[in-house]
Parts: sequence; structure tokens; C-alpha cells
Amino acid sequence: MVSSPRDNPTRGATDPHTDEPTGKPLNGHRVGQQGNDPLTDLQRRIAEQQAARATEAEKADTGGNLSRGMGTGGRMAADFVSAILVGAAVGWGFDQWLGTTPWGIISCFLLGFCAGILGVIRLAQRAQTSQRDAQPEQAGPGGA
Amino acid sequence: MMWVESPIKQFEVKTLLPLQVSGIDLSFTNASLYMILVAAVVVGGMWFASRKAAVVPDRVQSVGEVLHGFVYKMVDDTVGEEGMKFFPLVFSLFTFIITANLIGMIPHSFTVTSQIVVTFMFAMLVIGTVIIYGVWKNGFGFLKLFAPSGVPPLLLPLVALIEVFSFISRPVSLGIRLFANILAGHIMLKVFAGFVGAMLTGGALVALLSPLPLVLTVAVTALEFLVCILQAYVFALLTCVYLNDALHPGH
Repeated sequence: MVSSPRDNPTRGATDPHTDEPTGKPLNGHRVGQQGNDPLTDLQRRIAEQQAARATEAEKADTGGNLSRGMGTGGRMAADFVSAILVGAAVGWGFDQWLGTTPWGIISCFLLGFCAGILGVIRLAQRAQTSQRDAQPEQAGPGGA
Repeated sequence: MMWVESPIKQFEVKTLLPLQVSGIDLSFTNASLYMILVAAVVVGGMWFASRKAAVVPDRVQSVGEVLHGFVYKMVDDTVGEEGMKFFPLVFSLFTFIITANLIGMIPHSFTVTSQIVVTFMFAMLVIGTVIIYGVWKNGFGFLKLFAPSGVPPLLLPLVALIEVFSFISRPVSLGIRLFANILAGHIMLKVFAGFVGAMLTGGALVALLSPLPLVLTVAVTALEFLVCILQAYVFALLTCVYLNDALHPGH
């Protein structure tokens, strides 16, 4: 008839019909890895949490990319416009001061335009390299 | 449509306590009031956060620590260890601007950073620090800022002139960026919110569509919170970048 594991200690905790481990206590002890059960459970839970956090961090990172992109774009626009405005204002000031009327504003406007383009190019290069290296922004690589 | 007021009325500077000192208008205005309020919130908040200095921080202390750590990392990444003497400046600017922006998001409050005088003075403070410290530290070496390496000597005068313009435009763009972002955002909010009231009273068919601008107002409010934090961050980051130029003028 069906023998309980306790009757047959040499066979361990196996089901007598299928020879499969049943995980039943053997002589009051747990067999195999069952002594680690709380640990494996903990391991499994930690792994689950880590996976969840990783996806969360990934999401947060794309959010950071968006705001960083917005910041860089805004900087480009503001730098470009303000360089032109400053050029025009300085040129106008020179004209008023020296009485060279159209020439100061024309040349300084163009210089301001160049400065604006230069600023945009530098920012774009910096954004590209920092994206490529995935590193925090380093100031002043000076590529122009 | 009585409640649809002008969208730029919120930026009016009103005199609260008139005060004239030898012909100069030193009146206490709502702008002064909100500046004092912002400073009090920053100082009081940081004091409250650091009052216990516990090893295991409570919530307020965590906020203070995260804020401090964030600015510390920004200065360290951009300027490096020697830039730490500017940490108080960057931290004060960042906390003041972010607090002013966020207090401005409370309905019916005044936004200090929507006044170009305020933002431009911040920018002048930063550029003044850069110039004074740069000249004091490097002497004539500071002029290397205007002469990038690897430029043919023939082109150097032209490039230096362009660099001078790009340097002058820095405080302008620094001040205008913060001011314009906050100003435009607040006007946009007011205009969209004004559409709701205007459409509700504008006839049956239009009134049915009035929830649309309401939804848009909610979305724009979220965007404005992002802009408020982002602009404070950009201002502080650019301060660090410019201070880095003062310390290392060679490109």
C-alpha cells in the first residue's frame, strides 16, 4: 500500500507512484533547497523590484532627455536672437557716437549674426558629443 | 464678460507703500513684497530642512538634501572642484529663481521673474562676477577667451570681434530667456483661461465647445511647471558654464 515517507527514509520525500519529489518533510527536515526557501523567495522579489525600477528609471531618463532637449533648443533660439539684437544695438550706438550712420549698424548687425550662428553651431556640437558619449555636458570644447 | 480681464494685468507693479528718497522712487511695491516672500520661503525652508540634521532625514530634510546635491553635482560637473567657491552664488540663484517661478504659478500671485529688470540684474550679477573674477585670476590671460585656439592669424581679428559680440550677448540672452519664458507662459495661461469664460457667454453652440480651452489650460499649466523648473535649471547651468570660462579662459 501507499507508504508514508516516514516509513521509507532511504527514498527521501518522493511520491511512491511517480518517483517525483513531493517536498514533504523528511524526518522533520526539509529536503534539498527547501532550507533556502525564504531566501529564494526574497531573491525573486528583489529581482522583480529591480526590473520594475529599471523600467521606471528608463522612463524617467526619456523625460530627462525631453527636458534637456527643450533646454538646448531654447538656449539656441535665445542665443541666436540676442546676439543679433546686441549686434544691432552696438552698431546703432557706434553710429550715434561717431556719426557713421548706416555703416556701424550694418557691419555690427552682420557680426552679431555671425556670433549667433557660431553660438548655435557650438551648442549643437556640444549636444551631439554629449549625446554620443552619454556624458554630462562639458563646457567649452570650442569646435569652431 | 466682466471676468475676462487683460492678460497682462498680472504683471502690473503696484505701489503699496510710497517712499521717495531725494527724488528716487523707493516705494515698496508688490514686486518687493513677493521678492521678500520668495527669499523668506527659501531661507526659512532651508533652515527648516536643516534644523535637525538627522542621519536618517525626514521629508523636508530630504528635499533640502536633494536640492543641495543637485546643485553641487551641477557645479562639480561643469566647473570642477575649484568652482566650489561659487557654489553659494549658484545655489542662491537657483533656489531663488525656482521658488519665484513656482510661487508665480499660484493663481493671483505676482511672478518676480516676469520682470525683465529682475532677470537682467541676475544676468549682470553673473557676468559681472565672471569678468571681475576672470580678470583678477588670469589678468590679461582672460582675453584668451576671445581668441580661440587653432585660428589662422589672418582671421584672428575678425574671429575675436565675433567672440566679443557673442560674449556681450550672453547676459542679454541669459536675462531675456528667463523673462520671456515666464512672461509668455503666464500670458498664454491667462488667454486660454479667458477663452473659457468668453465662450461660455458667447452663444449656445460656442458654449458647448468651451471645455476645450479648459482642457488646454490644464495641459498648459503642467507645461508651465516644467518650464518653471527647467528655466531655473538652465539659468544655474549657464551660470556654471560662464564661471568655467572665468576660471579657464582658453578654449
